[in-house]
Amino acid sequence: METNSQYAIILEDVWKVYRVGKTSYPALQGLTLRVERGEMLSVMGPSGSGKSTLLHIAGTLDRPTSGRVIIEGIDVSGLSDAELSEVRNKHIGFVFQSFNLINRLSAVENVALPLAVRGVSYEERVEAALNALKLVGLDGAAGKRPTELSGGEQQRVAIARALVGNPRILLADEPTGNLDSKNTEIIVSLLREINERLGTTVVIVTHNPEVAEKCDRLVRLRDGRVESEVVLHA
Amino acid sequence: MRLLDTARYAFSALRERRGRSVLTILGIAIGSGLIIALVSMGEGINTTVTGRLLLLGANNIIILPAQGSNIQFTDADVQRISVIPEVTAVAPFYSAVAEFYVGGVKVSGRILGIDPLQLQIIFPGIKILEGETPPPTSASQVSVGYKVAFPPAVQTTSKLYVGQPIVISASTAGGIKTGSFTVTGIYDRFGASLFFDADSAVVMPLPAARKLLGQTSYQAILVNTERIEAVDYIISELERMYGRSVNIISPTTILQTVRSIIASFTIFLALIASVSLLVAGLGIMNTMIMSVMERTREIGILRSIGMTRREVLFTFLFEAVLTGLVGGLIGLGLGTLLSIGFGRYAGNFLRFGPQFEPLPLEPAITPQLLIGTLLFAILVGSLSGLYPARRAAQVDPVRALRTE
Repeated sequence: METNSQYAIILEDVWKVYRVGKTSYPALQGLTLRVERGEMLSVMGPSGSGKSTLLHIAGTLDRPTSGRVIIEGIDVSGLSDAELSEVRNKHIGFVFQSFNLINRLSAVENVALPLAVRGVSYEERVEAALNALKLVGLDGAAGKRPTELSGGEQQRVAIARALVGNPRILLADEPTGNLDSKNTEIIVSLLREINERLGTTVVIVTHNPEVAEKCDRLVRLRDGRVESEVVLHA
Repeated sequence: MRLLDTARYAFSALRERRGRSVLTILGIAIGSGLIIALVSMGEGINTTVTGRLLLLGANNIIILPAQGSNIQFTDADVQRISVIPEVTAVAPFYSAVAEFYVGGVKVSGRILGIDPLQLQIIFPGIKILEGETPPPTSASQVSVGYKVAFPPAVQTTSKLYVGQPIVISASTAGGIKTGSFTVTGIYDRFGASLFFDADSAVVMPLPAARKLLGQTSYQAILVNTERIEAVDYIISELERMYGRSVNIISPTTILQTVRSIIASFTIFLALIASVSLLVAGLGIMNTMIMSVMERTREIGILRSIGMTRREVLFTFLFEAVLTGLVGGLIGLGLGTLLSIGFGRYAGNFLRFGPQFEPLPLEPAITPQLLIGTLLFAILVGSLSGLYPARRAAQVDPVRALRTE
């Protein structure tokens, strides 16, 4: 099933139709997108253009109504819930606008959680979590609760959590949407650094042109399709 | 996810909602504590009452000639009966309604002609208050029950004393038989056994009874066993030996009735306690459903980092099981304390038997009861958690991550 492809993510003619009662809302309408391995891509577009849906489908959190989805060479279309969960756990790291940390757990426990799900021993995963926190420059805050951290710090903890399992793909849904310009700068630099140093494929959904500028390529969506794309850095 | 990590995670979730968890756990603790307290009390009452009935002669069988039969009980019969397995003592005796005249005062009661050394079979633990029991071979001496010596209706200025003569008029099939005897001893208050009232009886050695009643054969034979379970077997042996020529009187039916009443009462109490545990289970379900709703976003996070639906279900189910387990464990302690305390207190209300002493009520806290109740609490926890956990597993991660 796993093939050596140059693409981290392939979406082919992907449709996603939400049904609420008798009404259907097409979120994606035959979207086709290829993300190369090691690429840093930004996705922009007006609200309702399907940015988040794209990210959820690429992250196997959601299934397309039709079309093909290939993640790291794995065709995920026919996979079971358990198999999809494994793909997420091994290959994908998520970063969200609202950080989505679990408040009752300390920073290091939050970061280590994906490894706990993977079945990694306590000592091993705490060590890995501390390394991930070091990578985002927060190894000093390991014992702190999310509520004791600033927004920027919380997002860095979330990035550490996304990275701790060494995923090949990092999907960020408006990661700077709740941050000021200074923290936006820090987060985007951090994502760029991860992309360059670890070779992680990064996809960022954003409204912020300054964020998009830092990426290799910009894809604009409209009505659930790719409207245009610009290569910024080759 | 490893089991230990699931447990750790579930524990942290319960700790986060401390107040609510404590109340839910308390519900389970009260429910399971009640089961333990009530069932152990019921068992304790059963044991005590059974023991008390034994003391009152429930382990005695009386065999006497049937109406119209011409069977005559002799020492040969005593011998034959005493070799039946499980029989621990055989006491031939005479008994008749009688009136006693002591110093001009008339007292009604019964005579009991029996070897005074075997009196303990009928009245276990009976004690001499004054004087002594007459020798088994005496034909002229008797000992008397407390109410014969101290008739309650009479001001006891003229009380009976040891060495005094007593005139006994016994009613028999052959008319009233009267004789005079010497009192050698007075028994302390004892109360009634299932067959005889010790306090209004005059105990006569067998030769004295024979002389008074003018009979050569025994009137009846008392068969004693130590094991109440053996009573049925002994009865069947006696029936095999004597057929229809004798009547066999056994209090086991009374005992069995009493025991089955107590047993059904215990089951009834256990059912009530179980209902309270089930209600506590509804409490778990309620808090779990609330918890699932409040933690929708957390479920989304867990799914996004690769937790499967099954693992989400298991994580939430584990919280419910943990609630049941901790509640059950506290319930064990609570129930044990309750039943010990209750046992000490309730004994005062359960007076009967000699001198109406409070019954020593020993609650029967058995390992089976404790383990069974704990398992029940865990079962209630897991069943209550099943529905909320399934709801948690079915949460759509995309929608969950969007909730505030």
